[in-house]
Amino acid sequence: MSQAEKRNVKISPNLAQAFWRANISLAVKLLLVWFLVSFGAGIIFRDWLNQFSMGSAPLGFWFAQQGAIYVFVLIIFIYVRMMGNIERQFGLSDEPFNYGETPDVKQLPQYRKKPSGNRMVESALDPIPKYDPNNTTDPDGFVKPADPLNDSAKDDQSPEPHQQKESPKKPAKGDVFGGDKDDDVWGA
Amino acid sequence: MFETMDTQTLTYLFTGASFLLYIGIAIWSRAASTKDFYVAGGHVPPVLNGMATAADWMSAASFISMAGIIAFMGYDGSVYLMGWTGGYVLLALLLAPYLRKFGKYTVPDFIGDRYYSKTARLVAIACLLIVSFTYVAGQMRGVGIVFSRFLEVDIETGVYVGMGIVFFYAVLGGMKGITYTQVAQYCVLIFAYMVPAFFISMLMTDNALPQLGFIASNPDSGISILEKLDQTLVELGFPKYTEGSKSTMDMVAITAALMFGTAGLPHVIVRFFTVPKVADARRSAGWALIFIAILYTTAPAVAAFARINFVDTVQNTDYQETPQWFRNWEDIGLIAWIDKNNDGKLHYSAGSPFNEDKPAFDGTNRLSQGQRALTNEASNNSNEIYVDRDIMVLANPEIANLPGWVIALVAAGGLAAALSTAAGLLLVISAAISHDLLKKSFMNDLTEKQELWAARVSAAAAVMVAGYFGLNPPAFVAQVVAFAFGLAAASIFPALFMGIFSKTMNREGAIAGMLAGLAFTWGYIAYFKFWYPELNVAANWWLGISPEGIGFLGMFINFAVAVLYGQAFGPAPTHIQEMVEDIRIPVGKMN
Repeated sequence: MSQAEKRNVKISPNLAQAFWRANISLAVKLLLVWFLVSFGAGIIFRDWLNQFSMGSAPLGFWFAQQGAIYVFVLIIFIYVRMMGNIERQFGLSDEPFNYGETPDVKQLPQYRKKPSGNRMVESALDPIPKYDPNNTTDPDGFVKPADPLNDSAKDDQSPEPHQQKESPKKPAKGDVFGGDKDDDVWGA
Repeated sequence: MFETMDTQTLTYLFTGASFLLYIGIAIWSRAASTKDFYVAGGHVPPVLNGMATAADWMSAASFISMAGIIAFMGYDGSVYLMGWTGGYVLLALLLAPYLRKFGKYTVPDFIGDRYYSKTARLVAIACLLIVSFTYVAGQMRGVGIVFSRFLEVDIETGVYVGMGIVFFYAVLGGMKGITYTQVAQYCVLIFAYMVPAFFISMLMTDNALPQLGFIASNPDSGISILEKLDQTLVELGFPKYTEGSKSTMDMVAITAALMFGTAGLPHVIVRFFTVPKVADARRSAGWALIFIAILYTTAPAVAAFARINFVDTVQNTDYQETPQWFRNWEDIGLIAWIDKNNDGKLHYSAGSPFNEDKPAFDGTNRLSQGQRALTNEASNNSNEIYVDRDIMVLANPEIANLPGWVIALVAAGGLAAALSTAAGLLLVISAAISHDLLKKSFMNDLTEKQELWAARVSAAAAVMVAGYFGLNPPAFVAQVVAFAFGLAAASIFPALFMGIFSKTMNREGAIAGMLAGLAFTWGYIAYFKFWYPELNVAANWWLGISPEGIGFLGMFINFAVAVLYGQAFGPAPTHIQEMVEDIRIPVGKMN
């Protein structure tokens, strides 16, 4: 599926909501760390932290001039990584495969079956079928199949153009990564 | 081969070579379409985009002024270090991926579409222009400083040369030209910043890495740089380096204003429109911060080294025996000496050497020792030395006695920092005018070709205005720049944030919020900085927040006005709520 087609894929509201909750929950946790190292350690608790030291610098002063910056970098890369995982678990990644990794096609169906280690995501996903019984969710994933050529929401009955629908557990190699450069694990 | 050349020749050589490089890249990466011109076609790889963002971001203020400001402010200077890096966390987590998914060209594009209103778009354009012109003023002044000191030409000539270079690659190349030029400029500026830092750190601490030298103890004396600095400064009557004099409230407010301002600066946000995918927008923010952090964790070390070196060099030295750099900077007027006790020696301590803020030189007259004559009235304290904080990084290699090619390198680096930021700002200004103001607001039937032409003309016009500011600089580089952040934090950031995180926020609320935040912040800054500068002391500040930090309060005012005033009108229309739902997911659409 090309990037242009992917933009028009229809996503079920429940999936999107669960995804948004997972995203917010992650961002809030990381922003808490962001606040604690800068405003916390660098400013508000500085006097108390200054009784300790990093090398020969008072710790609060060190956080304000060095430490906070290192942690900021870490926060962003942790977010990049964890958001990537969440997006793949929800089948919403806009990437062909994990950055810097060689995709292992055999692993993919398994990966989608056990979305995790991430209990938050799993529990968020559970209620989806209950909310929307008419949803023609694909058997392996959570994504409502759609006709990329037609934007109308009523068009659920149209033939599924994506090969995944027929054989969700054994995606043809070319379907996932090969051939068209724009292909990716959406729905895989 | 470099040993035989004098510093002057080397400086011409290095800056000349770097300018040729930038122009070469500009020709190679000309913009062919409006998409190229505004967002570099939308396919810049995230690592390169991170590098370009870092160069775009780190301005003359970061390169030239920041370490100097920290050197003189000590702990208080931390607001700039945390404030100008922490904003990237907000960008990566709260804005960049969603704006990329939205997938258009400019910040007013998003605000105009999200708040379904031409007025909102126009208010966003006004905020963008105010913020960007405030910011660009500082850059041209930085270009002027570097030229006047290192190439010994007038500031005017320096600004004209700078304008010419920026004109060439911003007008020709648009975002595409700028992005690839900025990658080169990042390499030049970081190399120029790190080489003297390594040298000085090695010299002073036996530790080549400044970040480690900063916190290490000296193996000989067993006393660390920071301890020595604290002792020396206390002896001279200054507060301790590691302890500040700003109130906690003001520290928090300034840091926050700089962070949220970073996340609201149009020329930074627009960088995340240039990457291919949503995931790349996040990744690109991370890379940008890594490249920025290299300089930002070095700066406090450079600051501490420079302060010690400066005190060691000038304290109790005969004027006749001062090193050459001292007199060079005196000739330019950024250092002044007033011999209060007529002993021919320099005495440095806390307090201003005269009753005025700035030295007033008596033409080219010289006094008995050869120092420049001043018309200032000597103050009561024992301090005899005026030093402009902006010179610390530029003078650092000379203060530490480094070879001539290092000094030349720093000049090229300072120019790279100033030019890259100026170009990025000029681009968002021109895009705001040609795309948002002309194409989207008033002349909807503009063809792509005409729009590209309009973009080039407005880029050229923006270069002229920036040049005017460079010739008539409003104030300190970093100080001017710091206000741009407050304004961005109070006007643009809340509108973007609510546009993504609230589905129902309506146009009435958003417009009122932006106007209220901007008016309050601008009014507070103008009150203390332009109208009643004599009242600008902590006792008069509202809640103890200085004009630099007031954007933080302005941001809350923006949010409060938007939410309360917006109540009077219904929620945003359904198709807008659906648009917000769509930008929250990286692929596909829900409706």
